[in-house]
Amino acid sequence: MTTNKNYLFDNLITRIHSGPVQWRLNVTLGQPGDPTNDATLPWPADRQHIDVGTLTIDHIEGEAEGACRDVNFDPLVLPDGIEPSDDPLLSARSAVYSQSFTRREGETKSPSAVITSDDGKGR
Amino acid sequence: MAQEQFPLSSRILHWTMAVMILTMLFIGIGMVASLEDYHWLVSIHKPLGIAVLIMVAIRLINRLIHPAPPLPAELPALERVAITASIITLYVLMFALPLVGWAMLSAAGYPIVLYGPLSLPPIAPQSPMLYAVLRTTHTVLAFMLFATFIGHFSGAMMHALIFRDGVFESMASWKSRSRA
Repeated sequence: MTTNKNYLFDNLITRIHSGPVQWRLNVTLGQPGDPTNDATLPWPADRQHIDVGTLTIDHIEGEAEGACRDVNFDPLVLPDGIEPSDDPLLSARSAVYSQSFTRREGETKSPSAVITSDDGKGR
Repeated sequence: MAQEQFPLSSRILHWTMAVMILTMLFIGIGMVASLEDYHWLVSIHKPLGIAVLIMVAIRLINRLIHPAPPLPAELPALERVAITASIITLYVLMFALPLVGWAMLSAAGYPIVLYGPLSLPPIAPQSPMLYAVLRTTHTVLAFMLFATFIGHFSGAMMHALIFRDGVFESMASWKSRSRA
């Protein structure tokens, strides 16, 4: 049991201050006929996987310094060269994120509840 | 007395925009209420809104060149005021809604994609609070346009079915009549 409601934030901040956190980005290549419009249907296990890179996070910023509050993480705002699939979840996420973004942006801006650095003003 | 007809250019602009704007209002209502259909509805809403903006600019110029035919002389003064006020409101809203929509996307920092690589530059500074205000304004103006449209449509029906004074036909008839 924890009494600190920010414990997930605090754990991540402590982890990143002790060393970079990494994620591998794996791409699974589909074949014609593989369902792309239903995320609950798994593709056959023999599809080719490509390790396309590693995402390394070596520092972290909260609302006070970063831009995470005033950004809508809309999965359909895409750079050139990336097209959306026919997955209906993309549109549904785009719709509800637009709602939450609108409500969030209209709120009075308060100081960040989470301090991401040890001294509270830098990385 | 024969009511003078609107010129053909005015009638074409009126009916094309009537279809576009009604489509826009229903797409707008539909997209904010939908999940799976949200994306393709938004994809129509943005370029169609800009098309309305271009059309209303052409329409305003057309109206300045070809003023509306005078209303029947027997029309009461109060109704004249109501007609003029509703027409001005419609024109203001036809300009304001697309502009507020465009400014709202600008303030949010969204890319304003029309089709494929074709996108528009921002027309407002990126600002969270400005976005929130403009987003609400867009909805309020849309309901105002809906209400004004219903008033406009009801008035047209009154002239068509009850007064039968030729005011409805001056816009609705495709037959060209000789000017009185």
